[in-house]
Amino acid sequence: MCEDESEQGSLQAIAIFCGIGLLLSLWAIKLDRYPAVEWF
Amino acid sequence: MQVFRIKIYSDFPNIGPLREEPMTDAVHGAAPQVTRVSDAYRWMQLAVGVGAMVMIANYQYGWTFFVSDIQKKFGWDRASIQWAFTLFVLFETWLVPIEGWFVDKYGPRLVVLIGGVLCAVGWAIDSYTTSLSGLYFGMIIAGIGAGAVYGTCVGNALKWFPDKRGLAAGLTAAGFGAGSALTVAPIQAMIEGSGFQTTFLYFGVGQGIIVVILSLFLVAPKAGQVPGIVQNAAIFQSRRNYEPMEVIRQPVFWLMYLMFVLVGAGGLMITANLKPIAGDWKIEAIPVTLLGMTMATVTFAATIDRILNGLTRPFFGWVSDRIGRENTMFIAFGAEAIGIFALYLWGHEPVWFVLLSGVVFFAWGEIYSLFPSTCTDTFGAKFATTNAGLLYTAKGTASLLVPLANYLQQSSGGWDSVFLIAAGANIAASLLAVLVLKPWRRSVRDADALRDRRKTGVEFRLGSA
Repeated sequence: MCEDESEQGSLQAIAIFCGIGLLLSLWAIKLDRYPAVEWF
Repeated sequence: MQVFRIKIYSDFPNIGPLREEPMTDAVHGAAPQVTRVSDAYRWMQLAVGVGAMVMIANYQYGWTFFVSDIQKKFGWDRASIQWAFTLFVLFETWLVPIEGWFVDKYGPRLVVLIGGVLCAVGWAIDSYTTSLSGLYFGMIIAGIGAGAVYGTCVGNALKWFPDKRGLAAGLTAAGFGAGSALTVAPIQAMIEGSGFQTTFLYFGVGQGIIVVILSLFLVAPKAGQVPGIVQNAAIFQSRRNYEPMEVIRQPVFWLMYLMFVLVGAGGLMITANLKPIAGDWKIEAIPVTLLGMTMATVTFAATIDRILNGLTRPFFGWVSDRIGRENTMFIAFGAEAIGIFALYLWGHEPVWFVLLSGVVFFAWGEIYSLFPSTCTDTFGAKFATTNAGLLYTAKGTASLLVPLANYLQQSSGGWDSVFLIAAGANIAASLLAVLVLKPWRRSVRDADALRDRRKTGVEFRLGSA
């Protein structure tokens, strides 16, 4: 149970980390400040 | 013969078996209790991962061939269409740690299978949609699927090859970088012959199905199936498996992240802007002849750059397996700084533009093999997919810094400051690798080993042979 809770907490923290990055990037898109890069 | 029996309570279940090994004064100790798989089997696992990566390459690198036809059919402006691609890259990059978490918990098969289905569904949506929002939605779905496949295959390579981690990660990442080369001609031919919507459907579903089939062969290594930690003084591998939450609390992780961002952003500032740079230098369309081939400067550069961007990943990964991750970083990032500066000095000449942009790509693409292998060496293999995925998001963070280059260019009216900052970022990362990261990682590994000994105890028993 404890391990499950720890794993769930870990997933939530990772999701928050990824969500912040994604939202920042979408915000940059809104500001037209994100590169449309095809070469990598 | 005198025998010392050492009991190892490893918390490294995916790599080192829990075993009791006699340590003798003879050259060889006893064989592990758990059977190791053959190298052929490990290479087969790697090949399956590379195959899946080749299959998802087109979702990213094949996109460019669809843009003109989409524009012709629907009349949307090019920039609006390109946002679909940007959304693909964003969702492909930022969700990798979450997908990695499922891989580390449930294994690679299910995640790659779902990834293949999502890729197929994404392009199928794009084949039927008649709206921009539908196009965006399809590319977001495909991006999530491609990210699931990418993160899983890299993570699986890191787990199966602790002894050749750089090479394995590099080959896998190269499958993604260079995989589209195989299908460029068929995609273009089908778009021309049957239209882009049919091509979206057939290639999207076809490649997705192949990914699903390949996923059925993917498994994660069990305890004892792969070699233990590497006995190479230049490579620091920890026996300990850090959980993702522990990793993000480690300052050394954030040093790696900073270095990834520095090199990623420094390289991207140049590589993402090669076309406008060539345009400003008025060399974009000048024909260049090299090795008996003649192409416009930018087209030639793009062709060479794609090949070198693929080759560099296994090459520097292989080098790092021999001379150490940080030493390789020092060389590669240093070469990147020199390449960028040389491009700034001599790139106004079309031939040099092509050659030096190749150097810049060659010295840049290895970040996709060096950083995952360094991360797994430091934090262990058990959660390698999640941890490498967390580090991989530095690519997304680096992309956020690229507009800085455009701002600098617009405010100064030239590319000088962009080149100098990009070269400087690479010099900084190069020095950080050998002066800070190397001793720091060594101390982390040594501290883990000491803590393991204190925590678990080491039993020495005297016996006889």
